[in-house]
Amino acid sequence: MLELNNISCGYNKMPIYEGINFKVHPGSIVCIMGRNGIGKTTLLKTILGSLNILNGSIMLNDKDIFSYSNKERAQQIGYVPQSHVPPFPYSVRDVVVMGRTPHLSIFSVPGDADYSQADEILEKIGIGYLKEKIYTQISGGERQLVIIARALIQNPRILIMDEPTASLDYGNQIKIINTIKALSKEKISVIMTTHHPEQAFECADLVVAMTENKVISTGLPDEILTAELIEEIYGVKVVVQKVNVEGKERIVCLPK
Amino acid sequence: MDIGKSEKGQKSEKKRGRRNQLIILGMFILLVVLLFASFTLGRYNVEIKDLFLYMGKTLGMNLEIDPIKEHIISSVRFPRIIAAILTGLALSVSGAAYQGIFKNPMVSPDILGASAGAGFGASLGIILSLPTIMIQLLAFGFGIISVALSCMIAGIVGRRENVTLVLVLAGMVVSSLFSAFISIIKYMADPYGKLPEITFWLMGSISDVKNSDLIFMIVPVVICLIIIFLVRWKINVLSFGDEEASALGVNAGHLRLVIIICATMLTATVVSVAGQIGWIGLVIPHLARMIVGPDYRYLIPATAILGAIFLLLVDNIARTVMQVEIPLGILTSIIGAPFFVYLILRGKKGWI
Repeated sequence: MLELNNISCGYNKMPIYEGINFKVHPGSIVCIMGRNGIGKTTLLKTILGSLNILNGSIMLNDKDIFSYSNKERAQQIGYVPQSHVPPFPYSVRDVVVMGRTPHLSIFSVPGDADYSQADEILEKIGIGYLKEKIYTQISGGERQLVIIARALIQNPRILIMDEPTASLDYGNQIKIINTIKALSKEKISVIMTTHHPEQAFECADLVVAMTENKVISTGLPDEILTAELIEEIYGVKVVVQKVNVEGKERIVCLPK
Repeated sequence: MDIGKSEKGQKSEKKRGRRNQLIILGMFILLVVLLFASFTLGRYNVEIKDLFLYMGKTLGMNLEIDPIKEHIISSVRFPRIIAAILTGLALSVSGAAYQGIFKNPMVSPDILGASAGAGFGASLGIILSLPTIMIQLLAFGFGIISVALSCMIAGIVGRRENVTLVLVLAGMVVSSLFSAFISIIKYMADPYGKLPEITFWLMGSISDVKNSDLIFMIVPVVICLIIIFLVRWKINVLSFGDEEASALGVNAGHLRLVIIICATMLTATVVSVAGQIGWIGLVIPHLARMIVGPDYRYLIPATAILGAIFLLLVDNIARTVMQVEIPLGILTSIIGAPFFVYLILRGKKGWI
């Protein structure tokens, strides 16, 4: 449903990464990996349309993404940025309802139905207890979940997440990954950036690895995420090993 | 009052909405009462009965009214009261809009140089002995020019990133440039004639506003106000930044530009008539946020009405407390600055 054909992305007509190809199918989870500054966020911004595509094309439902208006695109693609604190103390419900924007006309305001939908979504991802809270006063992990709720209320087919587990504690990281897995079961595709090979092994259907020498590798995590590739991405030596945990085969990655 | 503490009691959005609507209605009634009361304040004794007599007569009823009182109501107090309401409303709504789109609760309407530019235009008009309407047009023109200049500098300097910061910095540069121009004019002005006139104008006052000036204020203020009112909910989305707003389907760049133009028009229009009146654009939106919360759906109407009430009150003080009229700009600063400190102390947790 989303297809990147040989695209180049970058700022001010200077490409920082070229020749990116991959396809996103309904309900699949794509993990983009690469060291800091390699261009992961640039790639996400390009898909979101806040940066121009320098070369190649992005097709959304077989139509060029450029033929979509902001509003039409937002009905298909939801964005989960790294959560930050806004300047005003909106309530959690207010923040979630802002996700209804692509379904409202320019002069209209959300109505009762939109607010009850916000409550439903908060309940669904398990943070119903937050709805009356002030968004600026809850924890970072809770804020990240609220932002996911805001993207979900857009009713998108694809979610784009920029390091959704960054700066979260261990428990919240696992909660977010479980939420992402649950979403993919409902045929919502997720494109996320991550630095943790374990997360890719855990949930990815496709890994897009952006390496230093500008060669992109895409494929299933168990096939392409080898110790060599991880060393090429991050410049550290690691061991990738299959372990048997309670009868299930899991893959772990440890530094040497 | 305190949104944070009463949150448990608020069961649903409907309840909050009804509560805020009631508050806004209450404030509106207060404004209307104050509006009538203001007609009776002042050196010459006018009673509320006279006001109703005058209103009846204007509506075509056959009523007798003292011609002096009629003149005072229609040509002295009416333009002044309406000007006070428009000024308070325009400056505070403009402040609230700026705060939302610049994602910064410490921003006020003069940030892009509108006040300084308009001040320069008016000073220029005064020193050239131009008629009042020309002074206003010059003030208005330079207000718009300085904002355009700020945006242009920001456009040349700024890349895609940090547009807000660059814009604010450009605004500071343009403001200080126009303040310097004002100083040059003051330095050259005749110290016994023009200098005091310019100085008093800059202090801000609506005591000289005439009925003929009002139309010049009402039209731009009402148009800009309606536009901001219509898009007010989207300011919430813009306050999360352009990238998120555009991912939520808002055409962030265009909407931001429209709001900047409207907010600046509001400021420039008012400054061109009333001079530089500070603090309202900063204090009133904060006060409104404490009462109705940060959602712009309620914040814009609450800010507008509170601003009108505040400036009408201050202007009533300005014209009644002392024998000599106190310039409005001085009073708003004397009241506004400590009040702002109080607001910061009270609202420590949420919005600073």
